[in-house]
Amino acid sequence: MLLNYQIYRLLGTAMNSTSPVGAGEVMEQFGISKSAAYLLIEDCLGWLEENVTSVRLSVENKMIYFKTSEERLSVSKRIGQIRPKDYHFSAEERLLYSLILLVRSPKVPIEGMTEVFQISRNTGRADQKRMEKLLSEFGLVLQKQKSGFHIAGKEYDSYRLCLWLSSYLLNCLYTEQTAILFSLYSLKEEHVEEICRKLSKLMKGYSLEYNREGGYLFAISFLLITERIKYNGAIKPDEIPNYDQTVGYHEKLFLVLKHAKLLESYVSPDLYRRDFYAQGMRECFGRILFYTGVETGSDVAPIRVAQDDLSFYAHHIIKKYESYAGLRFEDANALNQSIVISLKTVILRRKYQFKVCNALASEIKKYYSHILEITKNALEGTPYFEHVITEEDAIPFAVNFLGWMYKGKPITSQTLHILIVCSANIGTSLLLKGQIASLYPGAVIHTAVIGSDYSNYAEYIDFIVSTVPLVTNDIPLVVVNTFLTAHDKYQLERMGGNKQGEDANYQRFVKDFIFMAKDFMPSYDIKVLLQRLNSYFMTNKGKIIYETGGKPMLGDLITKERIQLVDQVDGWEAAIRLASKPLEEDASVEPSYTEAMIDSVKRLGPYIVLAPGIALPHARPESGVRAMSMALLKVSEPVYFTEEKYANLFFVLASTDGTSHLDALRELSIIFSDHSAMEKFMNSQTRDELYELIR
Amino acid sequence: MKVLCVCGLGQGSSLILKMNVEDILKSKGIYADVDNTDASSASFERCDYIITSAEIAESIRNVNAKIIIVTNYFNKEIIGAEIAEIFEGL
Repeated sequence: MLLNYQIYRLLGTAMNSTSPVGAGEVMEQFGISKSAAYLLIEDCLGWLEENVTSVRLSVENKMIYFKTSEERLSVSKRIGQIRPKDYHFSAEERLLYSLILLVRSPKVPIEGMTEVFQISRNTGRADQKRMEKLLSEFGLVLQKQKSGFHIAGKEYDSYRLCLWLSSYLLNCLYTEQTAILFSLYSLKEEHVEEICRKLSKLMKGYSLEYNREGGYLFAISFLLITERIKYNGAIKPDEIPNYDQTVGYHEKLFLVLKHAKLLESYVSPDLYRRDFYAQGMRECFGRILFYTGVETGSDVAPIRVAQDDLSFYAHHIIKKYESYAGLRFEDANALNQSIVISLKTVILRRKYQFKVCNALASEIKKYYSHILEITKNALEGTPYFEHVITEEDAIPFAVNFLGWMYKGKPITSQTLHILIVCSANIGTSLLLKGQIASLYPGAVIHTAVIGSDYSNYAEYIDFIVSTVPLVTNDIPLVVVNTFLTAHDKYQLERMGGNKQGEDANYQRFVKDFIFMAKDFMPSYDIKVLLQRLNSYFMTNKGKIIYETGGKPMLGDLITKERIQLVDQVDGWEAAIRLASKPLEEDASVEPSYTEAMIDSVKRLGPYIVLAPGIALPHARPESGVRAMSMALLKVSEPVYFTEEKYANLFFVLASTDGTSHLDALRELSIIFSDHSAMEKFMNSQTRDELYELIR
Repeated sequence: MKVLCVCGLGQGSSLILKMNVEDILKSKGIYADVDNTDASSASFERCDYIITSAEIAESIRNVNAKIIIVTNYFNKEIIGAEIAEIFEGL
């Protein structure tokens, strides 16, 4: 069986998970139906059986679970050996693979493609069309000659394509697990790591920040471009648009590139000895270095934009957003800095004409389109955005705003300490931080960058959350997706145990609110409304207070006066009326409620008989409940609703809202989960005895 | 996987059922999304299984879900046997 994209992703999920991955998790992560999930799991198990002999998984369980690190290692190793002939490429992957091939080689023979992918001529033609369309977005053309295909157009445009291809590989296709990049696409991991290392070390030397993601993005673009330079030659300055007028990169970056000696290591010496070639290459790589830094959140250098100050514009964008969204951000200075970086990203994108794939773009468009709309409106009128603001432009800003909106309440006291480790991409760490804060309100959240020394935190951190696997030296670790799936939350909850946030009252309110609101709106709207409420309480410094300590228990609702015992009654209607009488008498319910209860049985049948002998008559609160209450009637002779359904015990339930009686019901459920309970009830002869049973 | 427990009015009996179904599934190591609602909403919810009593089952029209009838909302053993196909399928 060939490896394919889905199986690869599933393997990645399983390798990062501490518990078995089953159909439910697969359905959610891949957004597929249950049967599709089972098929995928089956395929994955099949592939493992054929390819990784040291892993023995039970096919019956229909779950993927790697118990030992040796198993994970063997899977990683096998993935590292994957070649195109062992892989089934999806249409998307074919497109990418072909483009990468075309970019790196002067000519690609026609059969080369169809053979690698094992596709028909028609599919090949369709692929070709898609390639041409994509290339045209960069001003490039696919030329077909007898010797094969090749890309024609301006050299600078092909460099732009290389940057885009790298971002697509890293951000869109193989986000969680990059291992396959190095085996399938013949990129050398050592080279990428070496470039990243050199750059970050040199950057640090100049007190500049440059994160791992920027490094990877740069490194892969760099490697693709240098392969191109080998057969196409280097780029000359006059081939670079805006060469004289560019914003330019800081002297420090120039020195970083120089000292990294990257050109020397990867490009033929006679090319860069010729001065204007060297200048051209340095300008291009300098731009890409600068851009990849800013695009991934490192502020590598100031942009001098005439006299204007970007943070002045950032301030206005934030204010406009606040007024459209109806909220106020805490810590606006930090937000301002992030917005400034986003501004730089978009400005540079337009100036250099660079294009990069954003990993979060599709999720944001799908789940937060309303936030995107507000963001676009807030951006309007900003200088540099005189043209139409596209969704692509708005996305980095939307990510910032989302992250800040998720931020929880101020911390009142210390409960859980959670460390979030990210690769310093502003988007990921903000979003993750916000979601963790909502899951654990009141928890203290620390952040660290990948590669730092986590042992410093070992003293007081409860657990670490990360989007990539880490070596943590005994501190418990949970690996999650940027947008937490239900499985991620389940894993996180297992970690956190039962520690709740400080404001238990607010939590209780939220829980009850969700329960009641479910009847009226879809869960997504409820979530949004709760976010608004949360902001509202925060900005108005509001607090929820419950007068009574907790919720009423069964014994509070069924008082002794509300308990009755009789030998027999004339039919179920009489039984309900009798059972309800004490509640009518103490004015907890109106007579209309009793009638409503009887009515519902007439309409729906005896669904109120929950188990042989036990009935729970009830109706909606609006039908006449004055005060929350319950009553109990015991009839020695069984009362029949139909031939089969009968009851001896009638528990009348009158609730005022959707939720306050839930604890009492839970108690009831626990009482009757005991098999001997029914007998005890039937043997009771007095009110007191019955009351003892329910207290 | 999503499981919906349904009763006539969404006030109480479905909650008891939900609590017990959740416990049963958890004890089998199954992670599922268990929710409760009333009969009128049940027909429109997207879910894999609907668990309810015989009378309510008749009034539910839901094309996607499998409807399972339970006869005793309190007894976990009986419920467990009646909903067995949920975890046998795994």
